[in-house]
Amino acid sequence: MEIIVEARELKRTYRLDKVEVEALRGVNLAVAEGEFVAIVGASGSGKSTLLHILGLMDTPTSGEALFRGREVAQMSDGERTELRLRDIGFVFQTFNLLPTLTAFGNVEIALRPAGVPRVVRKEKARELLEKVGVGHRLNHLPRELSGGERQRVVIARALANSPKLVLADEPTGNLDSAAGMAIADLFHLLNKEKQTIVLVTHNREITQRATRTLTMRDGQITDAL
Amino acid sequence: MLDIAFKNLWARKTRSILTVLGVAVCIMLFLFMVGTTGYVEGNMEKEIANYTGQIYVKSPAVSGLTGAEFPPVSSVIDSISAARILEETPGIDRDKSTPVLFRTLNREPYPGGPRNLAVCLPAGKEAVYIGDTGAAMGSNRFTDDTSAEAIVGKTAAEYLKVEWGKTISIAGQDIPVRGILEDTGIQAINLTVFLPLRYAQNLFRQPDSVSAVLLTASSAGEVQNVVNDIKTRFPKLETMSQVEMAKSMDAMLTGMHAFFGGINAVAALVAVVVVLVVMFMAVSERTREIGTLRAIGARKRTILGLIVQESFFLSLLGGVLGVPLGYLMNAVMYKGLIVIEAADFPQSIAVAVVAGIVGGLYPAWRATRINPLQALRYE
Repeated sequence: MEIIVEARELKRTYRLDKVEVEALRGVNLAVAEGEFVAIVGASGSGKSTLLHILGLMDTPTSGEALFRGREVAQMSDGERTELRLRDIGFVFQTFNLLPTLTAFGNVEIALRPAGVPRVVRKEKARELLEKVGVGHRLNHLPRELSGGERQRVVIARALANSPKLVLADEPTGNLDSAAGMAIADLFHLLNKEKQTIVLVTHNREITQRATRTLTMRDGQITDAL
Repeated sequence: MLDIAFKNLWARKTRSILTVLGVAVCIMLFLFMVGTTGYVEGNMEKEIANYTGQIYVKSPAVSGLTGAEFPPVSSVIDSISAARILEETPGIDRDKSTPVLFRTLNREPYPGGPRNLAVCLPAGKEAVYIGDTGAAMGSNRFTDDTSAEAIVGKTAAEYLKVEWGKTISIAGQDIPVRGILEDTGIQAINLTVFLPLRYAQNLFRQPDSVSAVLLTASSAGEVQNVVNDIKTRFPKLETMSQVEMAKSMDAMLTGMHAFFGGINAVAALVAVVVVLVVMFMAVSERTREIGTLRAIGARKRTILGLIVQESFFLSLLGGVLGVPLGYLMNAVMYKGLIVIEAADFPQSIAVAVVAGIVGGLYPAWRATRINPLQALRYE
C-alpha cells in the first residue's frame, strides 16, 4: 500500500503574543492508502495543527511532513495549491461553503481550477451530491440547508477532484447526534470505497468506524489503537 | 469565474449599486468636461477664421495674464487717438473699421469659458463685428448712437433670460431689447449683448474712451503694413492681428486644458478610489471565502481574476450609466448647446473600465496574499 502522507518528528511552534506555544512536539505518523484514521484528543492537544500540516496548509517548524513521498516544506506555494486541488479534499467543522452559491455551485466550483469541462463539471457535481444524499437540494443556498445537509455538501466538494486523501476537522462538531451519526456513516461508506481519510473528531460514532484511532496529548501521539 | 463575480456583486446589491453610481458620477463629470473642451476649441477655431484681415489696436497689457486677453476687455484708448487711428491709418477699409468698447457682464465659469460681454459699437458699424448675422427677432441694427437699446446674441438671450420687446438690465439700467440675433456658432457673437457706443460710454461712465479700435485691412497683404504704421505713429499702443489673436486663444486654450485636465484627472482618480475602497472592503469581508477557495485549490491568479472581474463589472456599469448622465448634465448646464461627440462615449467608458481595473488590482493582490489557514480561522 502506498503511504499517502507521513510525519517524521514533526514539530510546530507558534508565537502567541510573547509566548511560544509548542503545538506539535515530535509527531510520527504514516497513513497508507485506504486507511481511515481518526485522531482524538482534548482541545489544544495539536490535532488540528497536525491536520493542517498534513493538508499542506501549514508547514512544520522542524521535522518532515511528506505527501506521497515529497517533503511539504520543499514545495512552492503553487505546488502545494496544486496538490490541495487534485489530491486532497477538506471537510471543515464550520462548513465554509460559499454563501452566494447553491449546493450545486459549491461543488462545481471545486472542479473549475482543475480545468474540468463545463458539461463534465455539471454531471459530476450532481452525481456527488446525489451520492452524499443531498441530490434533492441542488439549487438551495447554504443558508437554506440544515447543518447535516451542509456538511454533506462539503463532503461532496471534498470529493470533487477524486482526491487521494480526505482530511476532516471535527466534521460533526456543529451537528446534532443524528446528523453526526449520518455523517459518520457517510465517511465509513467512503472508506469502504477505498477512500483514504484522516479526521479529527470527538465523536465516538466515527472512531468506531475508523480503521485506526490515534490519541493526541500535549502535541504528541500517545496512543494508537 | 464570470458567473461567480456576478453572483458576488448581486449578493451585495446595495453596495454594488452605490459603487456603480459613484463611478457614474465621475464619468458624468469626465464626459461633461470633455464635451465642454471640444466645444470651446471648435468655437475658437471658428472665431479665428472670423477675424481674417482684422487688427485690434489696444493699450498694452497690464500683466502677463491679460497679455493673452482676447477680446482686449481691459484695454483703454482715449477717443481722440481712436478717431486719429481710424482717420489717418492707410490701407484700411474705413467702413469696416470701428472703435469698440468692451464690458464684461459676468465672470467666466472657468479659464476661457463662456462669459457674456457687452460690445459697444457706433450705429452703422454693427456689421464690422457681427458680419452678416441676421436677426432672429427684431432688428440687427441700432436706431442711432445714443438710444438706450440692446441687440442680444442668441446664447446670451438664453443665459440672461432676455426676450425681444422686453428689457435687459445692464449697469442698473433696464435697456429695451431691439433684437435677438440668429445663432452664428461663434461665441464672440452668440454670447454678446451689443449696445450703441455713445449710449454705452455714458452708461459705463467713460465718455472719452473706448477699449480698442477694430481695423479691417483693405487686403490680406496690407495687414502687416497697417500694423507697422500703427507701431510707428502710436508707439504706446499695441496691435493684435489674426495671428496674435490665435496665439492669445492658444494661451487661453492651454489654461483651459490644464484646468479641465486637472478636473478630469481628479474625476478618474475618484473613480479609482471608489472602486479600490469598495473592493478592499469586499476582500476583507470575504477573507474566509477567499481562504476557503485557496484551501480547496484555487490558484492565486484565479483569485486575482475574480476580484478584478468584479471591479471591472462595477466600473463598466458605472461608465455605461455615466455616459447618459454626462449627456444630461451637458444638456442641463448648457441648455443642449454643447454636442458631445459619439467618439467621447467609448472614451468615457474606457476611462471607467481602466479606473475600475486599476482600483481593483491592489485589493485583488491583497486577496491573493490571504493565507488559507489564517482565513479559515478568521471570524
